[in-house]
Amino acid sequence: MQSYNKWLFNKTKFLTGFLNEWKLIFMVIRKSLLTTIGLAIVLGFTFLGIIGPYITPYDPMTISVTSTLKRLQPPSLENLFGTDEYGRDIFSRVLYGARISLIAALSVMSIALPIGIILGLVSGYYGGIIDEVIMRITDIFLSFPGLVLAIAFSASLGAGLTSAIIALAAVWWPGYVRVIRAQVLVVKEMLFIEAARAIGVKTSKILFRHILPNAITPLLVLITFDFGSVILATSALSFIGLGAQPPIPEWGRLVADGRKWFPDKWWYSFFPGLAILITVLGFNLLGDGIRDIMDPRYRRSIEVRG
Amino acid sequence: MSEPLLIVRNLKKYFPVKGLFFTRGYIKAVDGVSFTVLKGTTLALVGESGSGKSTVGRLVLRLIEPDDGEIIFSGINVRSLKNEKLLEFRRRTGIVFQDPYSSLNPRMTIYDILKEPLETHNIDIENLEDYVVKLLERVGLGKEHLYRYPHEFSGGQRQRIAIARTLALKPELIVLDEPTSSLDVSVQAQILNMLKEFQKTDKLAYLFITHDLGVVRYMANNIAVMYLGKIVEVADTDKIFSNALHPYTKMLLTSIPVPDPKIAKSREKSKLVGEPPSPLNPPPGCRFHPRCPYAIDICRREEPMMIEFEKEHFVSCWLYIKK
Amino acid sequence: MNRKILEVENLKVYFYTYNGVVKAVDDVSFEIYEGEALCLVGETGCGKSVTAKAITKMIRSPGRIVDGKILFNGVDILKLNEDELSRIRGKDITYIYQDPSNALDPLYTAGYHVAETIAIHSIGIKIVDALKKAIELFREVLIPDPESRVKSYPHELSGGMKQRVVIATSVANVPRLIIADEPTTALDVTIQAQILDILKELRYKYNSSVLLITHNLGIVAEMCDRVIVMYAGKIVEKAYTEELFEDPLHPYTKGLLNAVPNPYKKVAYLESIPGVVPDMINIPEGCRFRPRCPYATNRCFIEPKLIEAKPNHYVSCWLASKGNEI
Repeated sequence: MQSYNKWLFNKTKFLTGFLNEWKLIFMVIRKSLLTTIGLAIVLGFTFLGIIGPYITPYDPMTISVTSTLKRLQPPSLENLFGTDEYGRDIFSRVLYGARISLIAALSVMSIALPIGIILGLVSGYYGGIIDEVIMRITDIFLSFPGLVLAIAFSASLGAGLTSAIIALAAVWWPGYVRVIRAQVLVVKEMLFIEAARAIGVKTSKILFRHILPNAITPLLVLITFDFGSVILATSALSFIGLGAQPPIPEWGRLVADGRKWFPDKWWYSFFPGLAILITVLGFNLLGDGIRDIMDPRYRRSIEVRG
Repeated sequence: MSEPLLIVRNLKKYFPVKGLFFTRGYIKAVDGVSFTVLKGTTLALVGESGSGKSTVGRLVLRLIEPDDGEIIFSGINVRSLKNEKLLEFRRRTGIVFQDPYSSLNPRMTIYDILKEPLETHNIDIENLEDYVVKLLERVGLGKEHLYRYPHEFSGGQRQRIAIARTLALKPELIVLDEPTSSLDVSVQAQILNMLKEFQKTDKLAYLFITHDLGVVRYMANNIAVMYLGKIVEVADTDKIFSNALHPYTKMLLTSIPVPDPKIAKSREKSKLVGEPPSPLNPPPGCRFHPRCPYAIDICRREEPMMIEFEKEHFVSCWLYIKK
Repeated sequence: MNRKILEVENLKVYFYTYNGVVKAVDDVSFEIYEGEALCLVGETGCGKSVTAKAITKMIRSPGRIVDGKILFNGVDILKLNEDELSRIRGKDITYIYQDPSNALDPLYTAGYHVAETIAIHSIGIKIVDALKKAIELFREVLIPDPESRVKSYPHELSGGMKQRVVIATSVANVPRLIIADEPTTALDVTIQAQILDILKELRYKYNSSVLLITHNLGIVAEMCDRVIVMYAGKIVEKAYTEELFEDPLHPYTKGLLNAVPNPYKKVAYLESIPGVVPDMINIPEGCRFRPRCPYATNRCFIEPKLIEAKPNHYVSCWLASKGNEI
């Protein structure tokens, strides 16, 4: 127990290394309304993604005999977003969909990021043949339009959310390799890396203790934008039928389902579409804000008081 | 008399300059350098930019791999070391860099930075925190600084932390690459005093790389002057300042602005002309001859060898080589 | 006695940052005479560079010139607008900075830089003539083969060469005042000597005054007629060079002179000044040097004024100016 507490303490101390960044983030948020809105949306999305399914007014999945009586009802006090062709409450489905999107995005990132980061680290640090090989493979992936490649992978893996996630992860990791590699090339010339080598620190420790924490900052901006992009891409795949399958209420899937009744029963496609729009917008605004914070010139201008 | 701790013979490092398809040529950054550092003493490696002195500092610790030459540390052939033996060498040596702003990992606390050498070498210490605090106190900082980050410190303080880091493993040789060049005068004085004191108490040997002759006068027992990858003169400090032989050394001495108006205002106009040539295409013969006011015919054709002109005073110049 | 060409009166430059107000230059006054070389000496953060920039109002946000007058030929240039100022900059008052790489535009040839500054400040001069003048100037600053060098781009030139080009631009219009901010810090020692020689010659040739900012006391001893020592935004001592080195009155000056390792004197111990420069946001009460001063007394909690302790030797210290207080 003692050692666990110590471990936790040390980990949080590591985070406070970014304390300077946190202070600035709050400064910017105070100064920039858009960033704050973005942050609010992202936090709201995450919150709903976690507790959403527990607070749905209706069961988003099951179709009961009674519910079909209420099919395709427009938005009302009872059904905020209206009902679908089976009488299911669209509001509940959209709410549940937040979790789907959240899980999808997290899954894609948690596969793509480690692969991209490790390959980027190795490629940037060792250079030479290793660098060439990794970069060529990365280039091959990057030369295909992402969505097209994702469709190809997804189709070959069979329809379903899992295959969509795998497909997207396969499409996303090359971007990270590039970004990390670029930073690694800069960081590895810094004197503290040489100092670590002079002490005799093992290469693996240099990569993960010294280079990675200092190479990751531009990635933070990219990750924020990418969360939005992945959600959008997942929706796109589901929209064309390759991603989530019914009855999973993935937003893109919902938009697709609602097409049949567009524009009469507009609420069916509209609200899920709106959810996608707002969520992706939120991540973009937040990403913009974080990127501005990282820019030293912007920092200087917000340091001015009065 | 001290015994030799580090013996370097004929050290070479050529950096390839890549053209479009093949190597265009080589920058002969270090071209046959030999010197000795005695235990507990300071050898200053003096030169301007392009002389190769910083490269030598890194070669000696194998932070860059030499292309040729011998490096003998305490009787051990450094170039052939591997694995645990190499790690052992790393424990017995240290380096302090010029730029205090990039020599400390900005994401690590001072405590992390200082205990890393101990962890790397699996050194078990009863009370690690106490040991690290004592290290900090030696360099003039305190316990309150333990959990802070490098960006919270000034340049001078960061350099102290860098010095504390090298002392953690109780090394025998420390390479100091322009350790005070980017610091203010008063801070420099504090750091130099500290380094001198540690040399006495810990019996450290320093390879002190610098271009500042004032610092050299204060710190060094012996001086090796470098020009364009070669050593042109070696002697103990007093001899260099009282009886410099090589024209480049003489030029160096007369070029430094002296903080004494009476002497400074009477400085002769610099006889040196031109700029140091590119290390990619060093001139034939003696590398200094295009700028040397005393150059004679043979200087343009053949490279002079290093001779012992008087006791313990070596120079590489045709003016002193008798036929 | 030569006439004054520049008079700085009660200059205050403050920086408004999120962490607080940095009083970088806090009530600084001095004068520069025709044809003299005046050195501003001090360590990092003392305000010397800010003072130099303030002379032609080149202070950017978050800095602001809060107070003071800068009289150039009788006119307060702080009150001039950008147009009028740009007529002075590059002609009457020119700058030489530490890093020549930053001063030269990589897209234009070396000759162009010099020709440009000539053309801007002369009416109706043809570019051809301006370039001819540039070649002349290159010869003066000892750039070998000037005819072909004028066509070189900055990246083709070494640091010493670039700095010579910058010097050429700064003397092209025969300025009254050349402000050189650490002009040789980025250069090798042997090149530095050559550059200083050039500066000395040009100064005599054009009878320009030079305001030299440096932290190197050797350069001060070699180049300057008078010296001003700054500490934490204030002037602590002002005197002729020989006088300052022979009889430094302010404890900081004494400490600084002792801390510089002199290659011609072998010492066993380098006396350093204890402590560090003060936090410019939370400045200590009274004399700014008090926390580090070995002679500080209770009197020092009140800020001393700059007083003429000896003829033409001003110092801001209660101890040094004993008996000369007003």
